[in-house]
Amino acid sequence: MSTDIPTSLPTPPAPPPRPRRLLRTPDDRVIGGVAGGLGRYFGVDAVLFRLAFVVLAFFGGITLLLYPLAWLFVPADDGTGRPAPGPGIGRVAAILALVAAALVAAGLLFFAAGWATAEGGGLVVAGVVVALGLGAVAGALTRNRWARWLWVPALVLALPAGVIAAAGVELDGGYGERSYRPASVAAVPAEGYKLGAGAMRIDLRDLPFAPGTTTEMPVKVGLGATTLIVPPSVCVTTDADVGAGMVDILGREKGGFDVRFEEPAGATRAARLALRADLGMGALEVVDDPADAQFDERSDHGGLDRGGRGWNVDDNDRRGPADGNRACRPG
Amino acid sequence: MRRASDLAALTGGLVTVALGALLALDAAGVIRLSFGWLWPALLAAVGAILVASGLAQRDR
Repeated sequence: MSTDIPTSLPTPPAPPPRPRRLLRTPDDRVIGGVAGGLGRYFGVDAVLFRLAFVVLAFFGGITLLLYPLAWLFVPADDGTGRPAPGPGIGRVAAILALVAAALVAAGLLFFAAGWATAEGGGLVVAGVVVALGLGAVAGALTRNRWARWLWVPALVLALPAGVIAAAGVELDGGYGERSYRPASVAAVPAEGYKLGAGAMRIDLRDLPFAPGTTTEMPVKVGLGATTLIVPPSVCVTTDADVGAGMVDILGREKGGFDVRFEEPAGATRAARLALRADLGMGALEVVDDPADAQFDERSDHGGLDRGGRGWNVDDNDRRGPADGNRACRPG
Repeated sequence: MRRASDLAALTGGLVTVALGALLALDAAGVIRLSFGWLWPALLAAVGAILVASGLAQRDR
């Protein structure tokens, strides 16, 4: 009598072999099965590719080009690991036309939502986003083929509306390029200077600033660049909010998102300019020499195409005195 | 497959309703939306949809 004694533990079942060819996965898809196919091909979770596609769609938008192309040219798995027969030329043309139309529609929705929010229609845009979201919920519950995708255009609307709302962009001050050079304090509007979108230059060198006085200077810009030129003898105190962009007050810079720039005056006897600025997206600069202006097209160094530093501010490339407004120092 | 898409659509719908509500509150002046809120909210929204999609695929 003999007994077979196992000499080793049973080996666990081997994972399914990775396919030799990249194929879309009709049985594992959210849209076209591209991410599912990539996950299966590389042997990783398809969610990683879905996350990458979504992130790249928001930052740069390359997904909007790559995904449709992959959907079109990568064949689907026929269920046995082999490519299913491809679509005919007519179907390819139809898919391309559909994708192009979808991209144009998405672009229009994107800009329309941003513009409407900046023009004061944020509540309407929010209402449409909520309505589409509720439509998607209803579509999911009723298994409606089309309604359950309504969350996609809702997200396309919500993204620009959210960015404009977060930046606080308001376009109620008009558009274009503005240039002001008041010759007296009375010529400065009591409500300050306001611009919806564009570029604004405010030259205050002709104002008769008297020592010991404070001149209020409210500035409100939705989208764009603002340059203030002040006499070197004036002490500028700043209270500025910028949704996204940068502030440069006589060489002191701060930039990024949700920028708050506060600089009170010291115990100076010089004339003061109290700058209260509210910018949505863009740049605000105060200079005491027009040649130092980065964003003013009229200055020698300004503008984005004249060799100026433009929007690409390098902290190591500061011009002029980086110690701020000398007129604010005591004495 | 259908169930997976339905769960993703349900989550996507709920997430966009929440985003729309945030936008409405900002437009009405109840809250002040900033980028400090916006980026995490958008990433959480996308993450919720992906998690729902992934969970449903595994349950299938």
